[in-house]
Amino acid sequence: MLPNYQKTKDKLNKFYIERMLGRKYGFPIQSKKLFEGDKSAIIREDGKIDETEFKKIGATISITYEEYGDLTFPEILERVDEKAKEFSLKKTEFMFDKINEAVSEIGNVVDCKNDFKVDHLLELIDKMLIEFDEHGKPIFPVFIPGSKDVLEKFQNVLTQIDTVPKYKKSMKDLLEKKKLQFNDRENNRKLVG
Amino acid sequence: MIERIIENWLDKANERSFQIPFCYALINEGYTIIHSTKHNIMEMGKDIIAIDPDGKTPCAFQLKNVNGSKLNLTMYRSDLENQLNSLVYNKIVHPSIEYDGQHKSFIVINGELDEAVQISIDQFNRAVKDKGLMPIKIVTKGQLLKKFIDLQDKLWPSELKSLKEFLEIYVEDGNGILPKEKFANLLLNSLPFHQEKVKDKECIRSIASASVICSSAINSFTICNNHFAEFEAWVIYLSYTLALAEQNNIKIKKIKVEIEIALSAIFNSLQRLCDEIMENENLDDKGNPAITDVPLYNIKITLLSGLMGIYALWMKRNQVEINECSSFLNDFCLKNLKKLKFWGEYAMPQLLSYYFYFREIDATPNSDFMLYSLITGITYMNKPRSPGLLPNPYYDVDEVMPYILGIEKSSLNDSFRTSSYSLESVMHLFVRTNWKQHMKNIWPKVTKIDFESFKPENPWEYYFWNCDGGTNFVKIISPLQKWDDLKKESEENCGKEIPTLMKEFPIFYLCFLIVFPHRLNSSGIRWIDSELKNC
Repeated sequence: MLPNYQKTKDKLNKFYIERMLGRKYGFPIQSKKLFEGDKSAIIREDGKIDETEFKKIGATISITYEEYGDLTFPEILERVDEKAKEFSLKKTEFMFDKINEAVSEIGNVVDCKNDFKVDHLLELIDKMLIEFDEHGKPIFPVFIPGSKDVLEKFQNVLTQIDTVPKYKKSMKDLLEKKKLQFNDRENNRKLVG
Repeated sequence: MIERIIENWLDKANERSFQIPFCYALINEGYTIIHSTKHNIMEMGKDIIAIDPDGKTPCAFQLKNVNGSKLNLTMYRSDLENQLNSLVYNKIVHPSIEYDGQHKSFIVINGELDEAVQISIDQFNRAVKDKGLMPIKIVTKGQLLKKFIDLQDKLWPSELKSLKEFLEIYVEDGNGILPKEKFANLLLNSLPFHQEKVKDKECIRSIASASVICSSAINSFTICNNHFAEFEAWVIYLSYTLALAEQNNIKIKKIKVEIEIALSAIFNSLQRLCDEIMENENLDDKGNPAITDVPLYNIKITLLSGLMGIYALWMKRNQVEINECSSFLNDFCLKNLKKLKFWGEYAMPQLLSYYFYFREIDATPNSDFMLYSLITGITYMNKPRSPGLLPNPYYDVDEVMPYILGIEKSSLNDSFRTSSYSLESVMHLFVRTNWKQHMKNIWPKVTKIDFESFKPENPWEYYFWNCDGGTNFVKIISPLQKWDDLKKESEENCGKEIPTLMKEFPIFYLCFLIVFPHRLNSSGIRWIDSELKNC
């Protein structure tokens, strides 16, 4: 029997896993590692518990016997990256499914019927909790366009808000309203009695 | 293979290393253990005192380490001979023994006797008999080995994976950190957790067997006097013992002695640690240059302060009189308050153990404000939009320090922002101190942090290092709350989130949290706080 070269193989394994997991969502999102268990649950302020079972997500890389001698390391990396993309997509899909489930349940959905307009964005912001920083500037949530077309429409909407006085004012008014709501929320962080 | 490993361990073991398995072997043979020495300056000349299986005759055992070799006449004359006299002629004095007859005496050595020594002992025994006393019996390596092998039965790690784990721990550098996860896995695979319907007798026997595994696996740490590693190993051992008992509904009285032996192993390791720092308070690492040791100094002080806090509380609970050691602990803890370092939530049980002792020795509100500082620390370090500087309790010193010191280039690839596993516990302790205005001030910041916790699927799995089944909870608290409601919540103290058997051993619970910091939860902390107050 030949030696297993286990140390090198362990290092390679670690490297591949990090490359797979290291692929980011493409948008900033906070992620946390969970070290044990098979479920996670959120206990809401009102005591309601939302439970989520862990879902196994994986991607398989196949190498045939014929390829064994010919495949180069950069070619393997190409396959790893391809699978990393697939893996990341599955993770993202799972995440959006959970978000969809949650927002549908509480009715926090704006249906723009394939025609994204300024009013839709304003309605969207109105439905959200907007935080403000220590300088009073709004901290907008991350907008994730589902396609290139949506991205273009979204950029167009932003330009309209910047340039059309009517929309500019609507946005300003909305942000003032959101600031008041934020102040109200912050003011409500109280231990009374 | 197993026999060879036990033999190898016995050859290398010192008295302390094979004392506990020997106690379990005696129990297995029907003896009742009365006393097991701590191997410190207070030794009584009899390592183990037990009652014979006949139920009345006291037996005294003196353990002797000869490193697996033959005890020759020089060694016998210089050391053992005096001990034989003391062992046979001095009456056993112990509050549990009321017996006017003769006691039995045993010398237990992890080697063999030279022929000349055998003759000398024979002569000694004849003289003893002439005086109407019972002759001394010698237990040599061969008999000792048989006792341990009999104990192991079918329960030793026979699977290749467990054997590999065992050997990996066995060959570890004894000066380092005990590989806790590996060690816990070894016990998990050595105890009958995966069998259906295990009889009480089999469970108890497996507990004894696991003690041999525990002692032998950590032998390198014992030889190096790595008291903290020993402490951790026996805490893990006892945790898995309690898990097995709880899983199989074994009544606590049936394993009382087994538990007491493990508890005394834990207590003794704390005592030896205390003796060591009484001699050298600087904690300097003689094996490494100071420039590598200094960044870890406060982390070591924090751990040590927590451990010494537990030790002091334990002595108080055992009603040990105030002595040189207790005044040392008092001074040690008071002067180290400013040196404590909150480097991660892994250290929270250390800080809370310190706190529980600190409040006993300091009548000022300083201990209350220690809690306040911890709340401030968590809410500041892990506040929204911060880098999330306080790692959760799943990260130990070795994993975290390179990032804290900035010597690790890559990132930790995890996020701790807006969450904490220990904030709820500390907050409840602080609310109990009734500093209402202070709590009101910090409350808005507290509401921005989510309380995290883990609940295993089965209550007895709480004792495990890692659980496959269970729920990771994130609790979002209401921003607007009434002081009275919070006060009521913080006063709850039935400890429903910790297993039943754990509640029999409050001080052990603190030890457990030091070793398993990811098992800390507010329910357990509220319970232990009340227990210690009522002590």
